[in-house]
Amino acid sequence: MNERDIAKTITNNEILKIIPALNQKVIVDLVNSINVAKSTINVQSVRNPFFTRIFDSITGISAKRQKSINANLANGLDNITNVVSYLIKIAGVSGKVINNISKSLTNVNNNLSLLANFSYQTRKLFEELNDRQEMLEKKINQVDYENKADRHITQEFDAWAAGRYDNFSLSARLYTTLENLNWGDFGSYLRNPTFDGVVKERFLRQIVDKSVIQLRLDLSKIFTTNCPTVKEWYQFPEETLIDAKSALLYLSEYATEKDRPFIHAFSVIDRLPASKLSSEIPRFFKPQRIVQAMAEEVLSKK
Amino acid sequence: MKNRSDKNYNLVLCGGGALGAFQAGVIKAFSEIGVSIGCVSGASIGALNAAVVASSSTLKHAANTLESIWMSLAEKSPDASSAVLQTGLLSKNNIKRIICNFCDNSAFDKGISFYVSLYPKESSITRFVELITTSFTDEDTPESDYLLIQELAPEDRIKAIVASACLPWFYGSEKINGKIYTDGGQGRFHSRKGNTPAEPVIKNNRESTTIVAHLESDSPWNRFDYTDSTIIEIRPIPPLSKDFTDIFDFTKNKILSYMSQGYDNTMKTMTKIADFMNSLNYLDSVFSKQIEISKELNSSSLKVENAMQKIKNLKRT
Repeated sequence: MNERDIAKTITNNEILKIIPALNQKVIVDLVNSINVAKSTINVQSVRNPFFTRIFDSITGISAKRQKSINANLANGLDNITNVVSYLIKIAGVSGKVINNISKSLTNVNNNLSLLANFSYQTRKLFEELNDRQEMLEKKINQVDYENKADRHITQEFDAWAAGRYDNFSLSARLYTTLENLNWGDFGSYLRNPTFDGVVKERFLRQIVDKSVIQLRLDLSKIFTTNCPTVKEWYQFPEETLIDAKSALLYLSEYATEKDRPFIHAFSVIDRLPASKLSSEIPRFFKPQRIVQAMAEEVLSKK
Repeated sequence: MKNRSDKNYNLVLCGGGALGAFQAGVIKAFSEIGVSIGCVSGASIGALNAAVVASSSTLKHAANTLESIWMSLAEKSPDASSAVLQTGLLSKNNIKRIICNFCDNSAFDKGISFYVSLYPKESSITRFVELITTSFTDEDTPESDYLLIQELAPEDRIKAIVASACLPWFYGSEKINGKIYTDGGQGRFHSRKGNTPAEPVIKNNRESTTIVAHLESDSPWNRFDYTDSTIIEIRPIPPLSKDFTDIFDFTKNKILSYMSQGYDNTMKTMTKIADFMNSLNYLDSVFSKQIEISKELNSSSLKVENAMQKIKNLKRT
């Protein structure tokens, strides 16, 4: 009987047919017939005197007694055989049942170990997925900020191109645009250390390029030269409101001559001759020069 | 008369004169074990004991009554050790007096089935020839008659018990339904079938276990003549009588000793059977539990296996 057969046997309750229960008669006959034989043997042993033995022989009592002992012992042995056979069958099937239990346990253990391994793998995958999700979220966040920064750049240069700063000096137009970018979505993106530096560099180049393009355009409208003097760069139109100038002075107040000479120039340009301005500021310069310097002072310096 | 099917045991009480006190001890032990009797039979002194069992409401009550009867017999026993003097205790009048004092005739109608073994009386010469031939040849005496007490007229019931319980040869016979009877122990003498009236109780109640209370340790009665029935024999170990005169010895010491031995022998026999049965039942219960666990584990294992298969398929997809 193989393992599968045993399982089938047990499932179908066939086991009870293999081992019929010992009935009460077998057990009573086994125990009681030995007892009966004992009682007769007891009598046999005390009927020992010579004349008693002669009498028992002549009357046949002795033979009957022996016959009774034999019958009871034979029956007892017969029943012992039944009981022993029953016990052997039980022991045999019990062994197979234990074997079956052991196999089932091994099977369950193996499956549990597979399950544990699977659980470990699932957990690992889950952790990887979680990492990926975090990365993706970060990426999406960065893209979102990138978009905002990009929109911000477009908005600011659109405003400049639309003539919103026409009442400002050329340098003030550049400075206002750069300050607006610094304090808005673009500035937030630029200052976030987790965002991609390459994109930041790309944005800065874009700002520089856009600024140069717009300044050239504005320059051509006001001056015939493409390399005006420093005073011309900082010169406000006559119709400029006092408030606009004051606001610009307020904004640039933080700059020193040493750290941010181009920004600092806003506060001194009206009072000082060009020769007294910072040596960092050329007397004549093209749009590229002021854009590089101003972008550096507003966006890059701490 | 009731044939109490809920009562699982038949009781057969053999004959043996004063040795019958042994059965008082046997019945006391069974009453303590909690056995209920559904049918009883008796031969000779066993018929007297059986009459008490049949007319008592419970085996416990019967045990108490029998103890009183046997103690009163012991009290009345002459001091002399002469067997002849003591045979008077098994006289017709004494037996009749005992039955009338301790058994209510009408109680038999309410009680369990009760058979008495009786031997049809032959002439003195015939009986003498019978004695010689049965003693020295294989020739056996005829079968006893087994009369169901409840089927007899009330006046014949006492006669039947008296006829069986009185000493044959000494105290004669009783006429019942036109037939003269003496002690039933004489029927089928070689195999003691008349003295061990198991035949009628087994026929009447074959499904039940039959208890046979012998008074002879080496009785040639053969349990294997009844292969379909479960039989528990209680035999005296050691033998009760050393010689023939002991069956007339009603002295107090002997009676007390027989009763005590009956009780001890029964308890020992039943304890052995019960111990063996309990061991096998325990083995059975352990084995059944083992199979039950195996089934449950098998089923769980299959469930885990199926679940794992699903997981494996999931991994593949």
